[in-house]
Amino acid sequence: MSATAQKRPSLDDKDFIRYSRQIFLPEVGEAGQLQLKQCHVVIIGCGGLGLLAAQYLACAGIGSITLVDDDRVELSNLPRQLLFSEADIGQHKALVAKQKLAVLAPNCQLFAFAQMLTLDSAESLLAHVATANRQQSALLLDCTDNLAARHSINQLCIEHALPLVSASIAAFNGQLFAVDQRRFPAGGCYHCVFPNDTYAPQNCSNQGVLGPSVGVMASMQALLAIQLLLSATAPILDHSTKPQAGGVEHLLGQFWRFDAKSLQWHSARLTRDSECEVCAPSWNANTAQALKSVHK
Amino acid sequence: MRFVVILIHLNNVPQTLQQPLSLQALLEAQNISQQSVALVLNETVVPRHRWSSILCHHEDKIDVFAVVAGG
Ligand SMILES: [Zn+2]
Repeated sequence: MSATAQKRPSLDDKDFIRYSRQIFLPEVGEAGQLQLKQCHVVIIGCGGLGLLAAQYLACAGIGSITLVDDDRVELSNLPRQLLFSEADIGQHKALVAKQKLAVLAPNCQLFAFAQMLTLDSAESLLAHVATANRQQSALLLDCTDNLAARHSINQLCIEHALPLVSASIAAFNGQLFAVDQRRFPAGGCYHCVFPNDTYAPQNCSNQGVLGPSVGVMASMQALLAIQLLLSATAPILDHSTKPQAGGVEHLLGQFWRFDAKSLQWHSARLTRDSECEVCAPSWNANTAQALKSVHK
Repeated sequence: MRFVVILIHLNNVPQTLQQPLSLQALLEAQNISQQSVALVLNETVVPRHRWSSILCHHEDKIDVFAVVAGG
């Protein structure tokens, strides 16, 4: 049966066994597993973070995954990019990853684009997640290795109202947070924390990194993504809602830093920058819309 | 003559300020380039454009850190 012909997706006996350890969790259950099956996750960057996150998400039963990266596999990638081997050197990361994930996660519908994501190419590239995004079952993982790409991706996610989970790692420092303009606009966006004129001294290619540090951040990114997707049907928060402990607001309104030397995590509340060049316009439009409906 | 002694913790290091400083002035005094860091004041991220208008208070906990863009 093709995915499009399937009106109401269901789990077969094999699915129940495969995903049993997830279904056992009351927070997931059969309904949650089915929900994941209808989700589409876009992963930009198929390096250490992107590959590991893709593996976790594909094997967890996410229905569709789109991989985007114009890089090719290099020998120096192999200590962290565990899906690749020497035989893959010189090939496009996104295409090799798609092939290997298809074997590991036969239930997952995979798409691969061996190209860079730009604001221009994004329209066509993301057209096939539009339906999932309207149904609040789409999400984008930023797993890129430079600040310019991260700024473009944030802008794209704000423009498309696509939830974003951003993770990064260089040397012994990791950072993680999620942005969702529909569910928690008060948390702001990537630009609210790191505006366009931010100077980035660190990246993996000039700083070095240990593989397991990348693994920690990729696991957290995948974990955050799964929980946001599972809670996507929770009520949308209005602008005045304050984050509550244990709720999804808590996951959306936090900025986490990981120190891979001391193994310590630090979290801080995110705040929207009222003058943010990227998310302020959509905030103003939404607030105007909300006021209009209140005064009706 | 009036003395104001403000004790703050900057990246877990106690610092004494002899006069009230804005977050921006604090970074300047520490030779930290504003464009290279994000700032957390008492466990809340403070957007960069507000750094000039917020004064350090006694017992403030301030963390500054560089953006990490690697993946
Ligand atoms: Zn913003």
